[in-house]
Amino acid sequence: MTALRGVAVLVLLLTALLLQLTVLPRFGLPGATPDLLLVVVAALGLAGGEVRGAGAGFAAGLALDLVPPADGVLGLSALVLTAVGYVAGVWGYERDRGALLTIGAVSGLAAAAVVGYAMVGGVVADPRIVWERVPLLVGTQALYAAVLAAFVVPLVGALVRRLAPQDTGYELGRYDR
Amino acid sequence: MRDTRRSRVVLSLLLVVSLTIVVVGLRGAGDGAREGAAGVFGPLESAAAAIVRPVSDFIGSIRTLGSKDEQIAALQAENDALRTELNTSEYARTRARELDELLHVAGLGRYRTVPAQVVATGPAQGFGRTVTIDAGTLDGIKVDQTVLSGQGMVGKVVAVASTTAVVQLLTDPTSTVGARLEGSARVGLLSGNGDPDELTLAMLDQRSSLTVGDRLVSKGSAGGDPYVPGVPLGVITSLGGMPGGSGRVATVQPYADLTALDLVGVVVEPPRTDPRDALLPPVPSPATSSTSTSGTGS
Repeated sequence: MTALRGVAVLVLLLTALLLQLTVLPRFGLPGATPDLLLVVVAALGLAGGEVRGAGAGFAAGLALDLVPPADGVLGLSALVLTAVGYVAGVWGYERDRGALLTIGAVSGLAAAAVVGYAMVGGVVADPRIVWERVPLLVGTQALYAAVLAAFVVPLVGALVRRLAPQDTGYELGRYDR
Repeated sequence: MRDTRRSRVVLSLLLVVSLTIVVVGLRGAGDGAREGAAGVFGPLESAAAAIVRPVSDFIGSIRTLGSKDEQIAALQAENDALRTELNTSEYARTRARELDELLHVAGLGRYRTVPAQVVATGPAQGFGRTVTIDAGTLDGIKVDQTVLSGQGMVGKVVAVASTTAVVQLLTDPTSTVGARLEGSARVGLLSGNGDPDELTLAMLDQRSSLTVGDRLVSKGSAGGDPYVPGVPLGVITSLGGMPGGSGRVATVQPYADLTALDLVGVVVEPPRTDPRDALLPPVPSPATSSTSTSGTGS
């Protein structure tokens, strides 16, 4: 069952990645491009815990860093999305947080991720970082992520539950409780 | 509390690996990995773009919803005209085909171009402005070739795989192109400033006087790499910068709509001579709208 779930998660991430690169920019929305991949990673963290969230975030981020038209600092998205998946898992896995609070949390993570990109990029002196644009990107990204989270988080949760009705303690962190 | 030691080990491990990739990538070791990924994911992106094209076109049509009625009327008139045209002789069709071939060879101002479709766009929160096109080394694309659209300069090729290439747009914060003012020899540097449809011009000559509405063409790099000469760049929309600062500064609206790119051409062979200002659109009159700058006229 875990193998099937692994494949399903990979397919899910790949679909989100392709949608984010081909469809979402077409909307021509102001500010940031809606970060579907980040919302899916956060949803996987919420549904599967911090270890799976971090793993999914790392895989998704690395793909985003490698797949054309990636041009910036390699590994930047991997770093940021790993943290996003982890924090989402720690905050929300197997806790009854309520729909609105969850949407707010994903939105906050998306906003924090933009700041994370800018800060890590700034540390490695990436010439692409334009700080004047960060407030606009943070605000729009938080808004778009909230809208996406309202649909994506329940769908991903349902998918994960369906593929693994009874969790078998595969989650690394759970042994240490 | 599930934030346990083991899960923290996993997190640390992944973060360290990411940071290692960042550091190694900064030293230019990641290009091979990106090329490999492009070989696998490039065709996937092309396929995905083809599948979602109806959706993309629909989104595009929503964005221009405001003027639908006028558009329908104009299109109906055009349709009638085209129907009449279609019924004309075989001669006209042969001639049209020849013209098409000529256009492909000569292109705009005798640039030989390879047409390509934009299939993917990098996320804006990555701060860069890059797109994937569905043409690569198999089509004769090389790094540092100029990319243009029917309206003007788009950017340059920064990475290429067998069937796809990555184009850095003019609006990318790391993009800089030599610009020349129409009808003069005054030059400046046109750079991306992070804004999706705005560029910053810095004149090299401090005494250069700029006017809103001044038009820019590419100056052309030595040997035509990466930018060929004579491609329309954009129009000055506002003057800025500190007077007495280093050089004159202005904001420029690019001719090409860099936020909604579709078909582009990659210049595989530059013209033998600089076409100078020949490719700029006709001087705007009240009837034309796409190149009109009357609203911001000086």
